[in-house]
Amino acid sequence: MAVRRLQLVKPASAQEADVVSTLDDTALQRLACADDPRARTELYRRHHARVVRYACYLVRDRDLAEEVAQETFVRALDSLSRFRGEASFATWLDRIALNVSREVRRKRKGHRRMQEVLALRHELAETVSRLDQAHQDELRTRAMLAAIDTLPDSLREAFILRELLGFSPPEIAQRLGISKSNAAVRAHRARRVLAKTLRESGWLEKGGSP
Amino acid sequence: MNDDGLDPLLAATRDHLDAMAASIPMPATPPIRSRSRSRSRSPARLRRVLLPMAAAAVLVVGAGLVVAQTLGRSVTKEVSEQAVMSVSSHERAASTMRVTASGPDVHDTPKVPATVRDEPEAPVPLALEPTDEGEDAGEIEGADARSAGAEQTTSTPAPTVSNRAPDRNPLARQLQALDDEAQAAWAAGDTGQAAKLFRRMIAIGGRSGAVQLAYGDLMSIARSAGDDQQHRKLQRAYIRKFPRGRFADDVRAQLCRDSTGEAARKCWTAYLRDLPKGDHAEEAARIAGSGP
Repeated sequence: MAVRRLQLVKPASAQEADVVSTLDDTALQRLACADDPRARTELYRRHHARVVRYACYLVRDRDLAEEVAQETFVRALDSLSRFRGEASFATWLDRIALNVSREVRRKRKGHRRMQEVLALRHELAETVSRLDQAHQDELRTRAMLAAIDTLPDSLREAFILRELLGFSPPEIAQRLGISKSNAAVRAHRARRVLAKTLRESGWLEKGGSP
Repeated sequence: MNDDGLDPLLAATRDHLDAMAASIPMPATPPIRSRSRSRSRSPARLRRVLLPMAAAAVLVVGAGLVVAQTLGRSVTKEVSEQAVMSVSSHERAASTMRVTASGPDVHDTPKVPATVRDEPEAPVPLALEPTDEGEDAGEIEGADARSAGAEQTTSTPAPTVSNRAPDRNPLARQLQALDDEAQAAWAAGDTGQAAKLFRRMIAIGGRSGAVQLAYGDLMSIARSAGDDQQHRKLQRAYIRKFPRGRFADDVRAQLCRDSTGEAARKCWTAYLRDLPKGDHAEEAARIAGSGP
């Protein structure tokens, strides 16, 4: 992703910051559209942690997540006037983050070889049982992340939003631009595919338990 | 609750990702895109601002003339053309736009296809496209955009507006609507939707200037997505359709750089033949002259 040239906003005084912190997102968005740097700062401060977490779940890589979050705010703050309030500001940000993560993912396609991680279980069949519990858990988490990466885009996004982030089907539908039933179906299918992948690669026992 | 055994793994994955998120600090101040951001060179941005200005100018001229007719004044074609030319000159001075095609339509005079040749030749630097002779009808619009492209290289704001009045040509109106929608999607980060709309413009827009810009935007999207193969495919498609288009100079040079050996030498030779004063002529001469 292209490196953006950024400029910094002067920090607002404590008193001004207190005032803007009482406003809701819509009021802040209006103020920010009128080039009020305090409103921009407050919107950023209010949503940063959530967007970062969302980005981490979407791309599952610290550096990429940082990049996605940064780009999300650059784009959002640059096009605040286009926010029409049809969904919440948080949902609007999530949609931008999702699109940015898709771009990043396409760009980094082939960067990781997730199948190798999945295949690791068979190679380590002898040794995994001897590893301490913490190490075993870490390997299983890595395998889970790798398996998530092998899902098709449509299933993966629905799965992450439903099973990891805990969004309801209507919330997923809003973010992915699909119907509620489609969101539920995708998440369900993704879970089935994921369980099968992990079972076949030995990271999940046939009976179900890891 | 599912009994597929995934729940413990999901919980561990959540913990892992939450810890990852917690390790990312929040920069003290929010980023604001610099005014000199990379897309600022994109003609689409200027177009979004200046196109409505052009449309407004056309409407003002049209409305003025309709009022004159209502008042029973005899407005001759000559006078109306002067009025249009006056506005056109003003526009050109202000923003180098072309809006002259609206004049004849307002007066129900026989409709003449609006072409670049209907207008006095603008002082366009010919560095990009020295071979203006013998262009077919399709390339005339390319020339329109090309002049804007040449102006762009001289750091003059160079918006491209269709030489047909946008409010009178259904295709131009459709292209504009598609472009607006695509730009909005792009700005919101939905590059897939934006690309789809730009492709639709290309499919229906023939060789219009708007199609050239749609190609440019598609290339930008492909490049930013790191899809080199798609980028090259678009470049080749663009050159086939607009061999003398506004981006032709740079695109041809890029395609030559992508080739190797004899193919590269031939490519640069062809470039030099077609664009002896092109921006990359020096490089072309060096490589074309280095072969056997």
